[in-house]
Amino acid sequence: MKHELTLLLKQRSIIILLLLSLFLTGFSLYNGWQNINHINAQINQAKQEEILRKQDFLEHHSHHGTLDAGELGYYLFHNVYHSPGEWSFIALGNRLVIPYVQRIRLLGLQGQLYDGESHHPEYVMLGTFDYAFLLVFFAPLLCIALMHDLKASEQQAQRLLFLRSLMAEPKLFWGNRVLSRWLLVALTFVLPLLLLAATQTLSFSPLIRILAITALYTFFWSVLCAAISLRKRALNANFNAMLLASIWVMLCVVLPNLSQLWLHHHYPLQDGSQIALQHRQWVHGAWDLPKEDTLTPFYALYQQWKDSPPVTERFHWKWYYAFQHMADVKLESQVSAREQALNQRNQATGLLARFLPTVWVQRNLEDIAQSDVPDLLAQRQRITRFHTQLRLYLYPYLFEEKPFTTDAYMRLPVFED
Amino acid sequence: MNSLIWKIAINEWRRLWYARVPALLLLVLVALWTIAALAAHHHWQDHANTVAEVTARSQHDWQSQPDRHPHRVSHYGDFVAKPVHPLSVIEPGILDQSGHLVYLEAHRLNSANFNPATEATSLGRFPLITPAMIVQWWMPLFLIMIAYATVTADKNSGILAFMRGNGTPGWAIASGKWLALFLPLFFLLCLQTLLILACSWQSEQALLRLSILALSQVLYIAGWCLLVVAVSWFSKQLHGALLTLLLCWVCICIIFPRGLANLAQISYPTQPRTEAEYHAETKLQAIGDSHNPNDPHFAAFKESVLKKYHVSSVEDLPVNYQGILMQEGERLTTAVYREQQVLHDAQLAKQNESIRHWLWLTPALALQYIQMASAGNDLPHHQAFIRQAEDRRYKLIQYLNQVHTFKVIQRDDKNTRVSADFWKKAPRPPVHLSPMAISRSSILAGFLVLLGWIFIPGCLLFKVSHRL
Repeated sequence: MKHELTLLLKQRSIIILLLLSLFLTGFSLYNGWQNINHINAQINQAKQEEILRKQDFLEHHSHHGTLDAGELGYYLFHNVYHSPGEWSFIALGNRLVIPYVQRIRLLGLQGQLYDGESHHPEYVMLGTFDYAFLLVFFAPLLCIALMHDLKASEQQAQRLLFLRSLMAEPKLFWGNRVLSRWLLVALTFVLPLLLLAATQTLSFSPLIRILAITALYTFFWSVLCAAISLRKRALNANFNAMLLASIWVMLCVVLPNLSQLWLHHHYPLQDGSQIALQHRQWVHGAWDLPKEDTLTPFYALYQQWKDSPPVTERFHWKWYYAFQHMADVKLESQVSAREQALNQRNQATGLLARFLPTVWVQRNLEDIAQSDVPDLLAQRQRITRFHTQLRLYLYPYLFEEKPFTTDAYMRLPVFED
Repeated sequence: MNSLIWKIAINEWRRLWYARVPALLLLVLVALWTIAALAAHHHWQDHANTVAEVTARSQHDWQSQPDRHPHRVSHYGDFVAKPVHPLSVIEPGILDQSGHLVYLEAHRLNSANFNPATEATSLGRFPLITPAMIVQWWMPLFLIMIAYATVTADKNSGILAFMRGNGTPGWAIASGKWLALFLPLFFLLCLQTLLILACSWQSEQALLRLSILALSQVLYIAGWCLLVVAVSWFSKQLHGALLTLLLCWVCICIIFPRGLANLAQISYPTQPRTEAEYHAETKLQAIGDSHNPNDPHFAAFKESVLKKYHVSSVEDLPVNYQGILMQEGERLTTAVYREQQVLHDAQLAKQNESIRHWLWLTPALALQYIQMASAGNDLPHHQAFIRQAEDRRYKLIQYLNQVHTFKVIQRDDKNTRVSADFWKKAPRPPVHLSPMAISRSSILAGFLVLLGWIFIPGCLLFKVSHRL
């Protein structure tokens, strides 16, 4: 093993390849780290600004120590955050398209939940240069470069027969060769990661998982390369390289694409725009309906305010917020059907990941980084919970027409992630 | 001399044909291409259906509005879906990332929402196979596998020295080999272009878009053929040729494009949308508060309106003061929101600039810019769509405010309902795909890089073709 390593590290081309890999891994980690840092900084700034804005709102809208709860529901925005986890820099996943700071008010949630983020769409399309990308796409190429000509290069140098006559245990000899190369490949990925984890004192168990994934995945490719380049008549290095490159194309691009096509065909998802259109129809349609049509079903859901004073005038905030909420309620089945379809897609991806190592790695890293579909759905649920909390906090002031004091304003729920 | 070049090319074809593997690889490439075309067509149709559905439904919803108060209608709002060009089948570009629906509403600047990328599972992080991707990534890769040996093999077997000894000039061999590689791929590209032309000749600017697309693809592939022959000539061993070419491919097609985009993002990070909204609100507050009777801006505004109609109080106005106030408010908010939008666009432009600066590193990205521009799926087209939608929003809302001003009686403002005919006649011009000139700068930059991409490997080949 030691001899193998010294032999390897004496070749200039190999040193260059390994240094390139080290550099790229370093860059990918730095890139992910910077992206997450930016997101965190923006979230912190938004938190600061929210405090100021709320004070400002209080100054502008309070009359003799009380506020109008209805006006507050309409004009006051509440920030909700999609904070990155500690290890999110490893795989940015869909974090770049999900808004990390979003503003919610008391109006119907379905009209606000799907707001887009102002990212650079071309950047998102080209894809992120994170650790997951580098591991999934680049590590196999490195393995192929180092291991496609194990036998053929010896044949080329006319050493193969000589070597064979010397080998007591060919399996051990070739095994050592493959293992030493695998070790170097894995190290170029692991070393920068360990360095970062040590300097930033990151938590331990995700690190172990990432290390295990890295080791397993590079090992898979090493074994694959070895299997092809150590076949009985594997003396044509170029054929090996082309075969391995074709396998790489299949595993990294063609099969994931076909899987996605199958997935989309098998689990159709209603386009989100339908929800938006329907939501608008229900919210604005309510203006033209008799008030009982909104309030009766609403009071059926919220019996505690059934006996609150009836709405007699043309406009009352409680009727307004009741129809805002009823639009959400009517959309519930559609929304949960979409959620279910997304969950099914996610599960099917998990199933596919068992057969496609590339997908398995990407999925597991995104799981650690909390940047996959389940985290999107969890975030939507957090927002929904916060919205409900906000509604339930403000409803007594709207329905029982309790005066909304400055004190009550100070105790408004705040989104916690 | 021409017949000599042809002879070399035909000989090369014969050799490739008898080697079997190259022919097989070409077949696989065509199969991949077909899969890509089918998948992309499916994808495009899905999207086009969504756009058509949304447009029809939005139109129906709008037209079937009952009599309403105009301000209610301006909050009811309108939906605009982003139009797609049929060439999106070739290059969907940012279709999945940019969002395809904008909600137009009074005093709000909404984002383009609903991009499939948000809800994609891990599978969505793998690069999409599209016909454009086939030309951009897989054609060069297969070319490398087919032809890395083209000159190196002749060198090793002594044929090259023999030919040179017979008086065949190096450049003739080089052009013959290049022609042998380029022509079949050129034929495939022409076939693709003709097929698309047959399907989409009726679409907007079809000929212009398609010819620019085809030209860029031909230049790109020609450059790769030059590079392959040059490297093959340069290398002493087959193995070296293959590995060098593969390394070039990995850098040009995978590492550099992603690396550049990510470098641009960390050097000039974008601000979140909420930040822009917050700034816009602060600015609006500074301008004035229409609800506050003592606000200097709106007090002056009121004064000017009263003067215009020669009356002494709002109640005496022949028109609805609330409507006039709405118009003024909309004008102000729109100005501020547009300012924010310009700031945001400038931010993205900064990123683009930093990518452009290093674009010469990767002709693959240059090609992609041209492809996206011709398919109408790049950033400038998207921004133009946003601007069009915003323009339509402003005109529609101001129309409704006009109705508010002139058709709603001031005394009974809140209880008035205006006839639904006014909504039916409202200005809602359809949103069109912008002309291609909108992405002129990225097309120019792309072509510049592609010309360099022909020039540098060409010079390299010319220099190296004197060697034996």
